Amino acid sequence: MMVVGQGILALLCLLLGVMPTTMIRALSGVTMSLTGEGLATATSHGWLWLTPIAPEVASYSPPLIMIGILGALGAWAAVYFLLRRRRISKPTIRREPWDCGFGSLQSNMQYTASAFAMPFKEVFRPLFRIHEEVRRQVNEQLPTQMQKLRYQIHIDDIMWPFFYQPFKGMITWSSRRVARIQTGRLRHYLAYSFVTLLLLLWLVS
Amino acid sequence: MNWTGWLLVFLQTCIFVVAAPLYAGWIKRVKARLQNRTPPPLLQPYRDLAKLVSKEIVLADTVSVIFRIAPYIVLGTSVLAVSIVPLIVLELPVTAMADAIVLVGLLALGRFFLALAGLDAGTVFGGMGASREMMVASLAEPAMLIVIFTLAMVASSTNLSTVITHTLVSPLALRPSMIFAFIALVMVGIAETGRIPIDNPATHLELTMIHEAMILEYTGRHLAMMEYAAQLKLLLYSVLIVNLFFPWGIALATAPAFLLIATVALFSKLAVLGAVLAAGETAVAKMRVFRVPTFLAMAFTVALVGMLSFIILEAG
Repeated sequence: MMVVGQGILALLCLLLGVMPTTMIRALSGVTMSLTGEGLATATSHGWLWLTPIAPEVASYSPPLIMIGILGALGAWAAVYFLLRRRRISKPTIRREPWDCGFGSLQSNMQYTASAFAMPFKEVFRPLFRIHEEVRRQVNEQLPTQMQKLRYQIHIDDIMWPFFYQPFKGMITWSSRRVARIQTGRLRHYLAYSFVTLLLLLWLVS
Repeated sequence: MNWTGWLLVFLQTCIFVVAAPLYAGWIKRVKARLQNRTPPPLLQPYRDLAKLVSKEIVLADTVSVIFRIAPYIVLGTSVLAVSIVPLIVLELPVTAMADAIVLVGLLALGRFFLALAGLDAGTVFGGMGASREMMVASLAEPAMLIVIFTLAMVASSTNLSTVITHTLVSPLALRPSMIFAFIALVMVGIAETGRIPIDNPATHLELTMIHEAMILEYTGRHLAMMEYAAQLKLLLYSVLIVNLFFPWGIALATAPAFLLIATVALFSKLAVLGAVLAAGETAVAKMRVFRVPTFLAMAFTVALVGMLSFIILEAG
């Protein structure tokens, strides 16, 4: 059940990617009701062709590309099928992965997510606020020998304080105000109703 | 159904697929000559591939099924990508089906599986290679797209055929936007195909490699497919550079004489480009990995300057 949400998103990606014309038509109801404009030219050449402006400018046929990709995979399947008689059915040899000659690999030597992201972190360092902390504990007798290493990283989005924080503050402030209205006593609500009714009466009359 | 068109697509893809190792062999040969080494025979890459295909496969015991299917996907997307590039003839049914942006997308799909395969074995080199490849890709792809947008603005189309036709029919002039786009595409091509100064396809020195690190665990026919896909990608970028900026000779009609002229013209242009590439690789040393972002940022800036120079100087 954990992956259902991701599955729905993946399915939507597939639909948007492979059937964009159908999706644009389905969504045009929304854009028509909001702005009164649709993307008529994008779908004007049938469901097979996505032509954002005109067919000479740009055209794209996602279903045919999909067929191409499936065809490429199908070709491999055909090769596999045709060669099945000539194949010597031997189990594939499995060996330990190459360890540079330093002895057996352990799971804590694997490339981690932070190791994978390290080049990105270096390249896009100006765009983020990176708090990095490395604590080394070395052997007193032999300073080159590390005994303990602790690495901590915390990355802040630089957009957060400038862009999201003001909005967040505004929403918190206004919802506090609303909350004060919501947590009154009974006579306060009676007073609200009374005032609202008076207002309505004044508007109607 | 345009049967001649589809036949030509097939023929063109076959030329691409057959010529890719030849082109790699040609570059190796020129490079060896420039470095005063005895060059390998021109057909050496074919022999290498044949040798690898005939060898048995040894898998690491940590790998999953992704590692085994990745070579097929990487080679499949490469072949699909080369089939949509106009090689010797324009106006094919595939060019309407897929424009330059789809080309970038197909290459990205192949690269995604390449990186996954690198990570799959769980060894450090594979992970390092995948991480570096993705870093290079994340910077090279925007530059590539800006080049495509510049060309799209010049020809007002993202369709590769239309862009080439526009260059052919418009009067010969030195356009600053095209010069900048050309320089940027060459830089992106060098980065994407893993040539010196970004990566060295001949090295197995662990700390410097990117592409070789990802395919380190591959053996036998899997390795052959990965190497072949890399050769196809190299030829693809070379053909893009040659055909987008120097398209003269490409066949506008499908008569056999035109096709013959186009093939001869293409091969001579590619021979020159390959020699220039080899000369460049001989003259320049490999960069440190963390200089690569600067190189690619420069490519991006050059592409952007090309776009701006079109808007300021040429548009309207």
